[in-house]
Amino acid sequence: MEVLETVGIWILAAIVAAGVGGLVAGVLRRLGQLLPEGIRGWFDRAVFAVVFVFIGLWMLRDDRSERFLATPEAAKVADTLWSVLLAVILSGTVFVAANLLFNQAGKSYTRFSTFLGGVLGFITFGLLDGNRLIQHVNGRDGLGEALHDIVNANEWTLLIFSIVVGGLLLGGVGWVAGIVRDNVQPFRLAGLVVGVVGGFLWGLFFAERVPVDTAIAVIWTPLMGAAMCAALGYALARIDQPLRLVVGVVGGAAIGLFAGGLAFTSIVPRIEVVNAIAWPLVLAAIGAGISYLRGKPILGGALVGALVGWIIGVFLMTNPGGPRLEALSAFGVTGALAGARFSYRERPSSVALAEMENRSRSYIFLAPALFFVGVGLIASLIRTVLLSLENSFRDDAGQRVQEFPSFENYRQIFGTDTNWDLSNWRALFTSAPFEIGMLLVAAAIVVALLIGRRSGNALRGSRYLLPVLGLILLAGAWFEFRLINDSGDEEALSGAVLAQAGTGAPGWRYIYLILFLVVGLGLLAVTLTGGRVAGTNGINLDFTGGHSAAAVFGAFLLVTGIFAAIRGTVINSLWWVFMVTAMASAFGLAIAALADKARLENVAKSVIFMPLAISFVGAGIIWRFMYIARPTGNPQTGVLNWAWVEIGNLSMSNGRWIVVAVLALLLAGLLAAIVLGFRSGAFGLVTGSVAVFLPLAWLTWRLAAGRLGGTGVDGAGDRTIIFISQNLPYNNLWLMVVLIWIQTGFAMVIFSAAIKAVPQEFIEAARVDGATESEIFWRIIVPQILPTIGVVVTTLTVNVLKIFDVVKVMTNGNFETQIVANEMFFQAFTAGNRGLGSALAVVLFLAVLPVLYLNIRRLQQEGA
Amino acid sequence: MTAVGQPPTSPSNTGAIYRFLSGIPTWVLWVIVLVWTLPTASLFINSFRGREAQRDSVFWELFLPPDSVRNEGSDIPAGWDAFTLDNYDAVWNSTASGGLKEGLVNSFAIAIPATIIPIAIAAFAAYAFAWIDFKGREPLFISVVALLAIPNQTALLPLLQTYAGGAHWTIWGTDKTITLLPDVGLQGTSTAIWLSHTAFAMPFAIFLLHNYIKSLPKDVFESARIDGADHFTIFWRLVVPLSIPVLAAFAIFQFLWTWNDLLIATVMGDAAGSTSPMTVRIAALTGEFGRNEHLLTAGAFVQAAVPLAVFFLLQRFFVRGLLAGSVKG
Repeated sequence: MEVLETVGIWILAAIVAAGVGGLVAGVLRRLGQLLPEGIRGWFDRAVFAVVFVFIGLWMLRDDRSERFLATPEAAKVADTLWSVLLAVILSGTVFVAANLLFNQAGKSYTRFSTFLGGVLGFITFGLLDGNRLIQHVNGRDGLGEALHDIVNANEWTLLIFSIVVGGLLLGGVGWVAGIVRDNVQPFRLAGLVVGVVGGFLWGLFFAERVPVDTAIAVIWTPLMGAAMCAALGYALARIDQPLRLVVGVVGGAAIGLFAGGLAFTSIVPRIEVVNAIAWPLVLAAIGAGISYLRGKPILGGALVGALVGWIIGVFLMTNPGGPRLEALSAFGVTGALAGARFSYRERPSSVALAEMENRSRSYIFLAPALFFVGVGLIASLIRTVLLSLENSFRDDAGQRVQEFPSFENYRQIFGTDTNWDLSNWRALFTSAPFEIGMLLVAAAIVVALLIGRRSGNALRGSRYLLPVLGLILLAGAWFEFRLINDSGDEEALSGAVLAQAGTGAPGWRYIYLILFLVVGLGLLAVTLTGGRVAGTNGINLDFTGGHSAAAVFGAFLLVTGIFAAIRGTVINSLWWVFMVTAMASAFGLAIAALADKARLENVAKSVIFMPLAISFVGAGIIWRFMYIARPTGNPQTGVLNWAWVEIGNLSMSNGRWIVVAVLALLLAGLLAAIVLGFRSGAFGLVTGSVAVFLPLAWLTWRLAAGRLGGTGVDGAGDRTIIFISQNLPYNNLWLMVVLIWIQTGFAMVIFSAAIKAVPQEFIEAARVDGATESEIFWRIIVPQILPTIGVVVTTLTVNVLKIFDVVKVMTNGNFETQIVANEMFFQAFTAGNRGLGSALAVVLFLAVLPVLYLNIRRLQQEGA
Repeated sequence: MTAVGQPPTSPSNTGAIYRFLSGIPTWVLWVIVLVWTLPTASLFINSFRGREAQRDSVFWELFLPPDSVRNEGSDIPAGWDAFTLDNYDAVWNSTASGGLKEGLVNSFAIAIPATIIPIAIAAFAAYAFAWIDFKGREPLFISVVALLAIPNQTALLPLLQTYAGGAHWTIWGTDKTITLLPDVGLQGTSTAIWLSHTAFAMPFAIFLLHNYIKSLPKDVFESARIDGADHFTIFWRLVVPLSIPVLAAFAIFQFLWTWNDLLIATVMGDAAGSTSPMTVRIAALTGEFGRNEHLLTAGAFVQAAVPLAVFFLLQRFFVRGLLAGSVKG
């Protein structure tokens, strides 16, 4: 029954809407005739549709919907549609009207001037009224009160009075219009009708026959102002100088007096002669000067200056509370000055009008967008910066104190251990990621040096890598030395804690110490002796080849080590930016290269791309189910922990030998590749293979020894990985995986398109010259798509910085996984700490400034 | 091309080895594809298993015969016996799932208007930037598009304050305050969410549409101008019909973005939840420490189903938009 009733109501609503909508649309159609030829048909249909739906929804919405609509969901739908349509109608009307207005500029100056006057009057009086500077012409307020006093009669007398006065006034205007247009009869009639009806409505209003809705009360004064200004605009459009100036000044003054009569006592100024003279004079001079410099008529600038000066000198620089007479003069002079500004020149020529139409059109088209950008982005940004300098705290007496400007919020961000903690930096040099990463990078650099010596190609600026890396290696050796020698040292110990992750046994430490020392000194030696000894090509680091993968992986480990050693919210954000950007770009590039021209390329790409359509919240939940760790002894339901425990089970069983055998075969193959590569001088292949060989060999050894996976050596139950809620600080990496999973698709799509855009001839030519696929990729494709890599990296950087959902859903910043974006959300909207929240937002903004700069440079080069 | 995949350049390799090695990249690709699908598949399949089964075994046991995987003495449904639609039932029955059904309606109520409004506004602006000559066009365009990089966080607090109480300005040097924007009661309404999305979408929308509209052939506009058409007519009769592909591309972007958004819906939406879309409700469910954890699967899938459908049906436009937004050309 409910459903039937709902359907019935909707149908009823549609019928009524069609009827009323047709009527209204018919009226609007007449207005549509004003539109340019091209869009008239479209306009008719759109108006009808909009009115139809609007009325239908109006019948269904809000409290009515509760009666008519069976379910709250349906009510919600109707309500939403109704507000959308309301918004569309309002903004569409304003927009189309603005366009129509300036259409008229080129065609009929009179109409244009009248409309413009009306709009300006409406806006001005709307602003005055909205700011509670003048009163509503509302029932017994203000002017209404005055009229009541004057007429001193009951409401019926007042009604009749209004009709007569309104009819005479507006009818007179119509009469005049008729005379001016040589078309007296219809205009006189129209004027009379409009006057009587208008007066009747106004009279009803005064007589309080119409229930004064707030909305009407608010809009009434602006409407009155609009009518007066429109009349003035009409007059100005039809009169030539010198009468034009007189009418302008007098009309402006009259409108000003109307406003002055309505002004609230609280803003009526006590005019001070000095201010009232000095300010207008000074600003008039400035305005005239500006106009002179811009080559515009001096009088115009002077009048604007005088107007602004008058407003400042009379309204802003004085105390309120003056008598009514001062209000009248203050507003009257304002109106007169404004009127003079509009009327001192001759009526514009048709050429000037066409010019104005064209110029104004761009602003009309841009206005809505610029409004949103200005209010929503720019003004808000400025306000955020101001808020971030606001510090609010309780003093000793418990009073709330506001301090401005203050950098307390920024001090909190960079001076608190939870946000910014560098104290543990020494631990970096003895941590496992650093040690392994450093060796990988060093090895890759040695290979790059060897290849570079032969090929003569060099990465620009790469020569500075050698001394820097050498020094870091020596520093590593120093801290390694301290750790071995002085185990009682507190600082060295803190390093040892981190180092336990991978190495542990003191024997390894000596190996690292020696390796660091030798390689570090070696790199420095190469730098110092450099080109003279090394041969013809000097120091050239050639990174084209598989060894760059080793370098990248080493750098990845290094950075992991750095961010694991220094901790804090801000550091975490930097870690996110680096890791997600680097990994997503690298994966994206690799997948794009792998998929290029593969079978079912599009299917593969769609799948990789798909996570981009899933929300960050959804992705967080998806990965929660991957990471879940059930208590030890229970069956593991998270895929990763399940696999971890199964690997453990395997490494405890005899079945492991089969796997070990397969792995050993693979290792043998890699070994063969290393030997072959070494013989044929393909150092890239060698390093790449070594980079795969070493971890694989380690895994095989662990497996063979029965020490791999989720089961301890002693077999005492499962050991699961508590991925995100323990496992500090590497739990951050598991969160980043989620975003990498999402963003790789983005990088892939763009790289894929860029790769396909590389001219096929280049690749063919290289192939003819005997280049391997790897050489084609590194020496032709990568250089060609370098600009694209720049775009992807900058885009990803910005995206990663502002994403907070993943952390919010998965850990909410607990377990040292907080990032700036989530901390900002927490401080600003949960903890209610506006200042600190704003400061964190400003930090995010400052972080994207370099990207902002790059984007602007790029746009300028493209010539917009 | 990983280094492993490369055939050694020595002359000793035979065709068979070469073919084997050159096949490796494709294998690697499909392994990656499999890994990439696993998380989503895991969620999807788990959404058809009840709470007990979800907590008892890994997702793929749904495809195994019950007898082979049942634990001794356990009465928890195992294998394909565990198949159930209860989770979806609970999501539809709103009270148990924290109102996910209302969330779905709200998601539409937010995403659709928040997609349409920016398109309408940005299309006009993009046309003006592309084809109307006016002073300061280029600097204005660049400064609008440069805002692309600005994180939303920088505007949230002031916007919220504006919705809550309007915008007021105390004139410097005096104690007089004027109202720039009145308080029209937008706080906690869907309208506030739309307006915020519109503002944040503006730079990207203008950038994307401008790139496309600018690339339309110039003579079309010139001949239209000669025929006496004004900008408004040209826009409606020529630019909009010609720009349908890019409008679609942006619409898909914006729809996915607003549908998946958590930040703005949380901050600008009603604290009591009357405007909360699915993302907000699901995020709230995760905070309950596992009480309704099993419903997350179905809820997250329902939430993802709409964007996934949009994505797979309209992928062509989506990719085009992505490329136009990032790479010139």
